[in-house]
Amino acid sequence: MTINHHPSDETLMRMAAGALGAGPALVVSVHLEGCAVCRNRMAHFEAIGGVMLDEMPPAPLAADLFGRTMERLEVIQQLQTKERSMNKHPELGIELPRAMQDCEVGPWKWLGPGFKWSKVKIPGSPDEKVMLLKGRAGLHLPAHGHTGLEFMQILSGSLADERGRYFPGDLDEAGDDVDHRPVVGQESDCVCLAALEGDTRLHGLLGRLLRPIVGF
Amino acid sequence: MIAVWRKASYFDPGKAGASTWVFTIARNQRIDRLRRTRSRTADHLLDPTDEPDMPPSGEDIAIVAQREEGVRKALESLPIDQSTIVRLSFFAEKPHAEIARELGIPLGTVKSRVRLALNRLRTLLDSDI
Repeated sequence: MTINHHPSDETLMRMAAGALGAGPALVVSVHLEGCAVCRNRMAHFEAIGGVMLDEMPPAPLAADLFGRTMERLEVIQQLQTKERSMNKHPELGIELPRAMQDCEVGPWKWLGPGFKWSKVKIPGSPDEKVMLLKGRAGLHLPAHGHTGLEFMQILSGSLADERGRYFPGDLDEAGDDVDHRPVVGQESDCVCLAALEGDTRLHGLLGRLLRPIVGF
Repeated sequence: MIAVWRKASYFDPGKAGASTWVFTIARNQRIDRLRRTRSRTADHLLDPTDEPDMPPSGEDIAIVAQREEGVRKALESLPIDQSTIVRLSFFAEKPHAEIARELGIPLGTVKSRVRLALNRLRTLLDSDI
């Protein structure tokens, strides 16, 4: 699988710094799962964090830190419980990436002719704007722009817009300078994971369609 | 401290140097605190399912050392105004608007310096990948 569309350096840097919101971070995590090139770039950005940590002046530790740490370790070991609940993922007809295994994913819901969506909830971050979208083969999505960043990772099928074609494994970052009219490839339905950053909204018909149904 | 202890068995010198590894733990702890949950971020540095019993090869460790040395050199070679911006946006995790206010420069300048710095880092680092 050749991946042609990747997150920007700035996105990876923010991800490495822990400064990317949970929604966009989830989409980037799914991309990293399948993209060795970006895993390598990410390792470089994390190494920047390591270098900066090295350069920081050492801070003195509390005299009783070691003792307290040992005490807490014992408590934590007793507290470790079995996590994981079952049935968080209804029958979506696709295999979800590993990075999504802790998310709560809703069933497919109607969004328009040949167009469905499913709500993705990230544990601890219920307000993130994340969803799965599914368009039938050949579907023309309404033209739309974005007030901020939109991250979209293709899981199956393909999409094309004025800027290129996106296949499974590709991640498209569209900012406020992008107005596009995506079209689903003819070969099959397309499923993608999409996240809007912060208070980003879509404008155009797609925004008007999404807002009352999806809520953002 | 606790987290570093608990994850010590996952430390893999074939994936990252010790400082980078500690940095990622601290970062993930902070993310978890913000989200009030244990997150499963792209934790490729501490992934226990990933070849647990394979000791890292000497080659892996050499690659890591080379990567970290390359990053250190690349950071040092950035012009001071660019490295300041990378530091602030990376470690202080400040939004660009706040950095602009703090340094008393326009927002556009912050953005273009970040872009310049990242382009330069990429050129420097790509040459040794």
